[in-house]
Amino acid sequence: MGVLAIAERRSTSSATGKDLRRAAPIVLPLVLLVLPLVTSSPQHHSWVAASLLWSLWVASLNIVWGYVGLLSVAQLALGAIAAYWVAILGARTDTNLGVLVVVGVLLSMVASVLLGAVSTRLKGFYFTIITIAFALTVSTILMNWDVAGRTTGLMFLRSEIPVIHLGPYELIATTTEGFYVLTAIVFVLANAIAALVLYSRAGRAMRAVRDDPQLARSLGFSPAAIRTLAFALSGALAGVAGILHAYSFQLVVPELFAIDQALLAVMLIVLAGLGNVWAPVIAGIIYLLLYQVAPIDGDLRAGLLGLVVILVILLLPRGIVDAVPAWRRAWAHRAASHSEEASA
Amino acid sequence: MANRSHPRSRDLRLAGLGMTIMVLLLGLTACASDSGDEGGELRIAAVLPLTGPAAEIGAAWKAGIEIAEDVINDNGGLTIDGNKVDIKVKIVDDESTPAGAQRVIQELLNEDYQLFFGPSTSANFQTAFATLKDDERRLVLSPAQAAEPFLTTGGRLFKTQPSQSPEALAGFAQQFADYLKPETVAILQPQDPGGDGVAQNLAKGFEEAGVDVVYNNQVPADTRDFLPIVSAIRNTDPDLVITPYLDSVGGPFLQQAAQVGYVDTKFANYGGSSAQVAEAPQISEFTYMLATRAPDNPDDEVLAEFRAAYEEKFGHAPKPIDTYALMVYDPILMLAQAVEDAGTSTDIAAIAEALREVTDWKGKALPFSFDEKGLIQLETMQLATLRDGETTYTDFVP
Amino acid sequence: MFLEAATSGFFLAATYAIAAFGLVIVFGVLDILNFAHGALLVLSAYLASSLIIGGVPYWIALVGIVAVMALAGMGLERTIFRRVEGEVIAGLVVSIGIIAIVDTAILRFWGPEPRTLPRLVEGSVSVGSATLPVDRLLIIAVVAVVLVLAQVALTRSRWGKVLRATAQQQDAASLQGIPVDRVKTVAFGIGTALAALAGVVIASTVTFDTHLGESLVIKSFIVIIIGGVGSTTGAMVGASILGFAEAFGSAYFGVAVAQLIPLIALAAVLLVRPHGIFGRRLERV
Repeated sequence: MGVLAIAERRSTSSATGKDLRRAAPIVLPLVLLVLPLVTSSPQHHSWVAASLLWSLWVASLNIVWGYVGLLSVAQLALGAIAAYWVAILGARTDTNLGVLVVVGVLLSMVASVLLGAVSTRLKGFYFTIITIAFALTVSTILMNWDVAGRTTGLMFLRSEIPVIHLGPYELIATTTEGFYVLTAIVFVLANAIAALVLYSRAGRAMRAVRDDPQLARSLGFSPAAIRTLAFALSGALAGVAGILHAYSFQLVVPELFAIDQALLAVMLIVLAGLGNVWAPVIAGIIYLLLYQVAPIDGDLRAGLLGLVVILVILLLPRGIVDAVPAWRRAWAHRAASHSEEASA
Repeated sequence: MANRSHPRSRDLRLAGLGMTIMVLLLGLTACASDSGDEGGELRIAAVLPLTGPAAEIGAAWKAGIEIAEDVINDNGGLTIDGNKVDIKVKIVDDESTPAGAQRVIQELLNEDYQLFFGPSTSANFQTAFATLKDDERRLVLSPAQAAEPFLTTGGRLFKTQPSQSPEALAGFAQQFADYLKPETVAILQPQDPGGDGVAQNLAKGFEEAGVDVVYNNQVPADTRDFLPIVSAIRNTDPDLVITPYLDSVGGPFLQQAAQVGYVDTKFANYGGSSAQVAEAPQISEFTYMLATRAPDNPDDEVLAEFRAAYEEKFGHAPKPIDTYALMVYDPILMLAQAVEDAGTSTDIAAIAEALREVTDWKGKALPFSFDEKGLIQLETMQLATLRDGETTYTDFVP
Repeated sequence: MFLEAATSGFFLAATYAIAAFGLVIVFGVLDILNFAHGALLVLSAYLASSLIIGGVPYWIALVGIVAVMALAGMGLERTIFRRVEGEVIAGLVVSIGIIAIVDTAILRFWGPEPRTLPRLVEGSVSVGSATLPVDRLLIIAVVAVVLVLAQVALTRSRWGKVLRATAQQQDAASLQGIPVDRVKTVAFGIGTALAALAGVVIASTVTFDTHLGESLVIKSFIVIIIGGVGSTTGAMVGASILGFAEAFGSAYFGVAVAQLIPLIALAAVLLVRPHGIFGRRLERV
């Protein structure tokens, strides 16, 4: 442990192989952009769009929990701040939507950083409890605040989104397909940014601070600064996710951002591989299969997910993604021993 | 998470487990959903809360739809453009969540349903309707309060529950004021969209009627302990207490009120039923307002046929909650009639036009009609007062 | 109104205390924040409802369910929680999974409608200008007795000492010959048994559904944080503070205020004295 853990993991594959491996999580999601060419079914677009939202939530959670090492259930509540900001001011003023969105995301970022500031003083699970309190407080305030529409919430129609011109392509977010393309573009960008940060020196610093803060300090990193960066990035992602989440349902309502939704993100990331750069993509796939496509009863879905999560934690504590390298290792091991037998 | 090393064969087994689970799920998804396009049927999709906190209400909606289906199909079906056609309602569960509603709506659109009933709950309706409202090939009926602001003249949305607008609710408060003559009133509602609207607008209506609102609070819908609330209300000594519109909240509230002997004030309710006092028989007077008529009143001639059909299908008389069954029964029949009148099951504009003109239909229970904005109208509503185990019913004009 | 609010305060305090007590023991000895505590509590309530409606006398049902759940808890510890021991967050996530499974099972077996049990004891007493329900007074008394006995057992009895030794310093305890593994299993069993007791007791006074578990477990966490993680005395003090604040807040200031009080109290404690009133000082990260 120690310094070895902080250093880059040595890979046995070639330099090109390593580059491919690292580029894959960033490049592969580009496939999403051509989905409308593969299928024109709005149902499919809706499925994948809904799943990408959860990929975004997981991306946000991955930075706080995977790379800083603190379990937070506040991501949805942070997203709510941005979503409600845009909804309330969008309804009451004539401000440009783009400006509102940017400011909303900044607000989520700031709130996240403030939450993170509390974390430096306390042990891990205390931070989790604080995030629980934060999420509950946001919920309670929203449910009792007239301006926010209390429990009825506010409409948040996609028809308010102006037509976006991307070269020759006109992105009309009102249609299911158009909204899907918007979500896909946002996800590809957000995922790329998150992955690049994680690959960078800042990402290594985060892992260092997570695993051994004293050592990190002695290496010249400031845990406080690193954490602030992580919380800021995570908060920004949450803000973006929150706004899209609201557009997905075309309303802002407290129940969309409640703690039980945050727990879903927690379960998804555990299955997808906490701290792994692929986690958002895998989480999206799991959500797509279990929550959109599979014709299971609503009650059963949560129970099934819980069961799988428990199994995975007990058996594969780093999530399904780890199963692949382990499998390959076991396969190689078997092949080697077979060839030994054969030559014996 | 901790870094742990495993024995390799264990890794393989466990990886296999993970893969198996994924494959199973993939296999499940390979089962295609039925497209349900069997010609010779009028297809209607009903999105109901069959699971979740409103499940009991969802079951009542379902019952009403099933009786309506029988009324048409057992009597020769509909005649559309010369062809005899049965009516088939596909009932899907929106799980009482916006995500569930979104998913089922996409599924139904994929199967090209054009006629929709529901969703019935506020957030779900808003999500579903946002997707449907600009699509001219879809017609929606919904009882949801959230539907009212979306009604337009000549539109394709119809609200199947009489108006719950602020003015309407204020009018109900006036009705209570006239009937029960209180000087002061306490209002308790759950903290949800329905409760918000009822609390605020009843309060306004009472104030306008000259009644003092001495207590107005909303409780989380999962509140268990009502004693401090009963205390607080009792302390303000109101002449009338308006109980929560949800039976699941009002029931425990009244039960605990009865337990501490708070039974002699007048209790009234909008939106719920006599099920609220079932566990609190000591309550001396309970008046509840029915948007339609009480389906559990054995002496009501108007609903005699409906009651008979209900009993034949389900083997027992309607319960108080079946006021919801009654609320969907006629609208479905009206829609079927409109389709027959328009002579088409695909020209939505024509069907909508016909629906606004429907005045009589097979199996009619209540004299409903839709106004030009698609809001259902009913000439009279009912107040039911339970006193000493006896219920008296009074019709009134809202 | 004051007396009625005070009775409510006592009742809520008793409810929160008995719910939190089990959580504290589990956390102290096993370092596990068992979020599923609430779900197990509600499951006990549902089991009780089936038994009682089926004609089983209340006290027999109570003892039976507590025993069964204790065994179930020990089983859970041996099979599941043993593997994530020491990792608080992993334990938390596992317990979240358990909640999902238990909630789904409850929905499948008992359906979504809220349940009510017939009252333990009917009627109420008049004290001054207040009317107080007898069954709640009875519950308060029973819970108080149980908690006092539990606290005494924890501090005075041999088993209590063993539990506390294991909680404080596992390695030292094991060196002294304490069968640490067995102690942990029993501790979890005790925690679950207390959850079951809380569930059956609470079920007889309020209408409940699966949400009861969620709200109680969150309140229990707040209680523990305020009172001090790992301190049973703290749990009881924290429960009292929370219970009375909520009852009086609701009676005098309205429900919205009562909802915010626990959150404000939590925030205050976390910012000013994070280890709670009776907790040990925490290591800085």
